[in-house]
Amino acid sequence: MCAFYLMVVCRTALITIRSCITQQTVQTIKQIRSIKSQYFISTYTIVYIMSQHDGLSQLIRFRKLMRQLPSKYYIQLKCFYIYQPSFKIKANLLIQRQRSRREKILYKKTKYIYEVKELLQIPNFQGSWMNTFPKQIQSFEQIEPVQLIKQSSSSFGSSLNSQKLNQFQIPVVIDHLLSYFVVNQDRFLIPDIFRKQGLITEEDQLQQQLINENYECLKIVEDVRIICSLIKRFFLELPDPLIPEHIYKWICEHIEQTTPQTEIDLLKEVFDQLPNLNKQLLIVMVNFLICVGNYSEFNRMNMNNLAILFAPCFMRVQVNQTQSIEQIKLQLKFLKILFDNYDKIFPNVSFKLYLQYCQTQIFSSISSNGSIGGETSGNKNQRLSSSEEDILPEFQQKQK
Amino acid sequence: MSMQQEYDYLFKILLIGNSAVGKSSLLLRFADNVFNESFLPTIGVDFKIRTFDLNGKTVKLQIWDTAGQERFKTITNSYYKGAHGIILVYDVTDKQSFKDVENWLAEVEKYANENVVRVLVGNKVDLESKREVTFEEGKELADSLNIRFIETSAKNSSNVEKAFITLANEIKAKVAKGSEAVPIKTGPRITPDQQQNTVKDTGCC
Repeated sequence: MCAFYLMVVCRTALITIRSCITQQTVQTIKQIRSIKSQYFISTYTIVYIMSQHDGLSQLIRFRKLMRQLPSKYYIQLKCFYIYQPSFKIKANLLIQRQRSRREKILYKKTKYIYEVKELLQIPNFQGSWMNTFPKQIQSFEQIEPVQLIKQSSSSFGSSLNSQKLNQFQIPVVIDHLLSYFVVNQDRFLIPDIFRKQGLITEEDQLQQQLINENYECLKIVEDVRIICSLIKRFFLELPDPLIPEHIYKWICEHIEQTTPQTEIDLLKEVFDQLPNLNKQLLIVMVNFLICVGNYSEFNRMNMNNLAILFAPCFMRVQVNQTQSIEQIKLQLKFLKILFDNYDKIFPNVSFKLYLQYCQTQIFSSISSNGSIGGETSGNKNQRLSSSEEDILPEFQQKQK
Repeated sequence: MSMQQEYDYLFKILLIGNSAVGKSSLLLRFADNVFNESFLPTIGVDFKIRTFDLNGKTVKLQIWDTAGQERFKTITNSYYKGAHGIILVYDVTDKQSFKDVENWLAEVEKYANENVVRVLVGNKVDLESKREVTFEEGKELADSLNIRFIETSAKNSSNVEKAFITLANEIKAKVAKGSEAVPIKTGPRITPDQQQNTVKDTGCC
C-alpha cells in the first residue's frame, strides 16, 4: 500500500520513491542519499504527490525522514513542489516553519501546484513520468483501521518519562533490545561484546527502525555488536543521564569515605533517591550486565570491563578535561560497588527471574492487551513463547 | 620518569583506532616490552614515555593511548592538539575496524594539526588464520593517503619498534626541514600534568 509518492528530479533523471506505511522508511532515506552519488548532482528538486488518504500524516512522516539527512540536502534542494495540497496541509506547513531552521528553509522552497500543466512546467520534468504515478494515489480504497496514536517523542533521545514503557516500567525499546539476548543465549558469548562496535550505517538504520517501532526487524539482525551499540546509545542519548546529576554529585561526595561495611548503605541511599523509572531501569540493566559478566570466560567482558564501558553511559562527566579522568574513576568505583553488592540489596531479583516474570505477565495480559503498545506486547508474546521452553532450563543451568 | 633526562627531541604521539584493535597492547609492547593477555579497555586516556637513540639524537616519545570507545570521544578529542604524530591502528582480523579508519581520519582532519605525521598500522598479524584484511588492502589505503603502512603484532612483538621508529623518523625529518614542529631541548623533569602543558605550549600553529 502506497502511503506517499515523490519524485526527485535531477538534471537528466527521475527517481521515484514510494514508501509504504509499515516499512521501507530507511530505504527512502537511502534512496535520497544515493541520488547525489549516482548522478553527481549539486541541486535537485522534489515533486511530492499528495496521496488522497491520510495525506497530512504522510507528509509529516516524509519531513521526519528528510530531517535524517545532512543539512546540505536542504541547501541543495532547489524546490519542493507539492501537488494538490489540501488546506489542512498548507496550514500545517505554515505552522511547521517556526519549528527549526531546516523547516524554515523547506517552507521557503515549497511551492504548491494544482494543475498538470504546472507539473509539466517544472524544469526537467517530463510528461511521460506522469504514467509512473501509482494507482493507489489516484484511488485509495483500502483505508487502514484507526492507527494507534503515536507519541511524538521517539524512543531514542527523549526522557524516561516520555518513553513508552512496558508493564515493568522499562522503556519498550530497551525491553526489545535485551530480549534479543533472551531469544538466543549464545549471543552472550560473543567475544568483546559491548566493546567492539559494528557498522555505523547499520546501527543508524536499525535505530531508525526502532524509532519507527518496527521491532520485528530485530529478528533479522545477526551482528550482536549492533544491538550492543544501540543499548549504549539509548543511554547516551537520554537528555538526562540514568543516574541524574544531583545524585551523581552526591555519590562523588560520599564514595571516598565509603568502606566495605558501608557500601550497602551508600547503595541503598542512592536507590532511595533515584526516581522510580530510573531505579527500575538501573536494576534491569545491572541485572543484565551481571548476566553478560557471567559469561566472561567466553566473552572476556568481566564486571570490571563492563563497568568501564557503562560508566559513561549511566553517568555524565562535566566536560573539564583535567578532572574528567578522576571523575570516571569515581564512576567506575561506584559501578563496581553496585555490581558487587547488587545481590545483597535485591537478593530476589535476577535477570532470569525478571524473564520468568515477564512471561507470566505476558500470558496474563494477552486478554487485556492494548493498554500500552498492544501491538508490541503481542509480538513479544509470540517471540518468547516460541522459544521459552528450551531457553529457560538452559539459562538456569548456565547461571549455576 | 623519576630521573631527569636530557633529550634532543620530544614528540607527542597519539594512538587512535577502534576499540579492541590493540592500541594499548602496542603501547605496552613498545614502552615496557611486555604483552598482557588480559583484556582491559582503556579509560579515557593513558600515556607512556620511551626515550631512544635515533641517528645519534635522543628522541623522547610521549605516547598517548586514547580510548577507542565512542563514549570517551569528548575527552580524547582534546588530546589531538599539539600531537606531532598519529598512529592509526586497525585490527587485521576485524574488517570493521579497517573500514572505520576512514572515520578516524576524519577525526584527525578535524582536531589535529594539518601537518601531523600519520602512520597506518594493521595489528594482530599473529592471528593469521583469522585475518580479514589483507596486506594489500592496507597498503592500498595507506598509499592512497600517501602515508606509511606497517603490519604489526603486539603479541609477538613483530614490527612494533619499526612502527614507532618510522614515525619518529618522519617527524624528525619534518622538523629538520624547518617546519613548525618545534623540538624541545633539554626538557625539565616531567610529571603528567606539566607534560601536558609543555606540549601545549610548543604545539604547532
